[in-house]
Amino acid sequence: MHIKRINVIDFMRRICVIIFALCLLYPNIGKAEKNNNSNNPEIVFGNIRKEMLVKGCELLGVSDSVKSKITSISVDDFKAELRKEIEKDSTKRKATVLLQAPKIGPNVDGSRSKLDAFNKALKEISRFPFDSFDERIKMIANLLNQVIQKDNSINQLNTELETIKAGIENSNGTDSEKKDSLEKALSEKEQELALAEKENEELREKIYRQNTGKKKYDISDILYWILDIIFWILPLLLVIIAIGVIFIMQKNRRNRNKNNNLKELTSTDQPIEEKKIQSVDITRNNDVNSESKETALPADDTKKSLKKEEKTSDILEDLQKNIIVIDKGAFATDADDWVVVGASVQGNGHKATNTPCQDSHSYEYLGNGWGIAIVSDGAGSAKNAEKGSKIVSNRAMFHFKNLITHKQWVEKNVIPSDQEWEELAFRVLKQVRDDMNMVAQKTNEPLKSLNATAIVVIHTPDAILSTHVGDGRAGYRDAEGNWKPLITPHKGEEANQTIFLTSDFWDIPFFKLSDTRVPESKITHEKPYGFVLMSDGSEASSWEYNLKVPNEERFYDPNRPFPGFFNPISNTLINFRKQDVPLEERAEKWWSFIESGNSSFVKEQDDKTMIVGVLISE
Amino acid sequence: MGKNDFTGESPYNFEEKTLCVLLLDTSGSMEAKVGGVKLIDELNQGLQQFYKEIVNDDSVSQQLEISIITFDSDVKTVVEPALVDSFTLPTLKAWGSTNMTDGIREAIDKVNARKEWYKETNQPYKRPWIIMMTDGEPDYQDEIIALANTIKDDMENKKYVFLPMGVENANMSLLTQLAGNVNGKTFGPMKIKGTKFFSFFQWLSASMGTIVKAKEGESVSLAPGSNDPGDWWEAFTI
Repeated sequence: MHIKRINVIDFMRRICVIIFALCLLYPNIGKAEKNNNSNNPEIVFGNIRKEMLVKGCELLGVSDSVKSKITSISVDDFKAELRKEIEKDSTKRKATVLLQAPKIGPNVDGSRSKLDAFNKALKEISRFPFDSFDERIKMIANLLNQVIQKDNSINQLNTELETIKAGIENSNGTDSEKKDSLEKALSEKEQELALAEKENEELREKIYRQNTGKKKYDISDILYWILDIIFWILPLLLVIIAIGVIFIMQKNRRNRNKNNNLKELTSTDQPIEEKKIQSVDITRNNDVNSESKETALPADDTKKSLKKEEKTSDILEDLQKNIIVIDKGAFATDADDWVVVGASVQGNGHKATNTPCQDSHSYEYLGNGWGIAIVSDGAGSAKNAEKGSKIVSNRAMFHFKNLITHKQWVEKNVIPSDQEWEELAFRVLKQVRDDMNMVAQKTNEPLKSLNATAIVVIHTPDAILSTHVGDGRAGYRDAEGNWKPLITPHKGEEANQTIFLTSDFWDIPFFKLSDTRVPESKITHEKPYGFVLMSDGSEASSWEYNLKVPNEERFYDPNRPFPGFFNPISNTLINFRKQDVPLEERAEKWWSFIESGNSSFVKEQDDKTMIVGVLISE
Repeated sequence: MGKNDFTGESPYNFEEKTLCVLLLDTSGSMEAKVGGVKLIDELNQGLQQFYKEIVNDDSVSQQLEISIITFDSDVKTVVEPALVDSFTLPTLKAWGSTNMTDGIREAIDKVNARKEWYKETNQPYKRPWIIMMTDGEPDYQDEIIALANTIKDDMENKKYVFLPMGVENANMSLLTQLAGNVNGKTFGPMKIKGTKFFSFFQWLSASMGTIVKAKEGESVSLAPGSNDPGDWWEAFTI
């Protein structure tokens, strides 16, 4: 039922597009007809003015796009276009003269002073062949005057004819002699009238030839007819094609649905029930709490995967004992050999305007040295950014965990191929985006009111899987203790522009921003000894991204985690573990460090989020 | 800040630049006295205040680049785009007519050239601002319309933000034609009450402090908390 309704809407939309296209085509048809009507003095003189302007444009080097705006009746579009060109290209300012082109009419002498002024101005800056135009204007004015005179005499003959006819009716049957003479006069007048009309027709023909240099009916008229017909047939063809396409699409969709139903039994592509999303996005904190996510798992799963889920949740329950989440928005955990802390803190700018923290994060340890860390930055410009980033950190955790569980990567300690990871990460992030869309629809808000970025880092014993959309930073620590970058932030032309998970890039193949694929997914095949991910609010304190080449006015972005910042952090985290510092204290300390631990954090206007994990190595 | 266990060093990153072009009318009419004070003197004093407030803000002074262009019978770039610590403020003098159109052209050229330079030197930057202040009628009114279209298009394409400001006898309906859109809403013109330049520049320095830190599309309330614009600007209708 649902699918059917969407198709009806689709179909209606297509029909609207076609009607729109028809409306667009209509003026063209009108124009084709108007061009034939060349006896209209306005058009006749307009054509000469048009030729004068075209000639002037050529002499003054005005571009073709401007020239194409000259029409025979109105030159307003042309003038507007010309003004724009002059504005853009100051070398063409002498073309301002063309703006003074006067209107001309049958009363040539009346327009004489304006024509002379125009000619003079043009001649000053170019060699303009005014005389030939002038001659034609006069000749056509002369011919038109003749036509007008003939028109007058035809009118007169018509009235005379009427009088004679009336006379014949009045003298009905009384005086046959008088009637004869009247009838004779009538036929004479009728002949005279026919002659005058014929002459007038010839005169008009002459004007037409003067104006266009061709006969009244020739090939171009037939062409107009053919064009007219094409203009009408084309939309019809479009309608037929559209109906065909819709039909095929419907058929395909039905097939795909059939396939999906089969797939759902075995794969991770679970439809999310609306109730579950709402419970996640509104009531939950942004932190690492896996219980309700477990309940958010779809109920209609196969027996096999249910069993697996139970097994994983058993392990997870054990692990959860080692995690503490504090209300402010921070956590600390001991997960096997990993020591991890994370926090999201409101920036000073948001404090001043009383806007809640729009960053979110989540972390979950999956056992066997595997863990997922996620950071999302809600766009300051979006109305429900806070909610958007929460949906991202929760739903991305849910979907990535589902993916890993079903692929049994943790149990088998399998790393996917680069290409497989790229495809899977794309698909999972798209699912998160679809979840956001569903929430947006449920709450009747536009999707972009939830604009938020996403950074996902999955640490494994032998490699790091990362993917992201938007700005922010992520990095890892290698065996020698060096910190290295994992991602390149997506940035627009201006420094404060970026892209969001909710943006419309999903259908564009190989979409790139600041020379980086969106999403940017990759596998770093190196054993991680630490990892970090953060929203852009934390980067000024910790990352080298805008350095100056010494003695040169040149800047560069080394995209480098700053060792002076990260080394003390890894040492402290390792010491925490060694000294068995309570998790709650660690979370508190981490939160206040991000809040105001150094002068850049204090200065920062934007919300700040950072998750750091280090590996205890013997 | 030794109290925190994590504190280490922070890197030295250069700040992202935001250019603000002040396009100021220094025509003869600025010699006029309002309430016994010359407009031009007030303008100079306001500029000094603006300069001082930016210099005193460690963060904003590293982000905000200022350029000052004046127009009277001529158009002059008095201050080329630069951070406040690399120039001293000149004292402006009033004379001549009001060549506004060439002034606006110069400001747009200046913005474009600076953006090219940012790109060449690989510097991150934010959308530049052009703030025009005038008290009179421009010399070539007919050219204003074409120019207004350019400004509207450029603002639509997010090339810069143009804010027209009127003082005293300014032709506000003409300034309205010059105003473009920001986020779909007409931006400006605003009218400065009497000689309240001082308050205006106070507001401007506070607003620029917010703007240089804002993210794309974020609705910043200009100069939050400080100086209510009601102190210096006049509502007007046409």
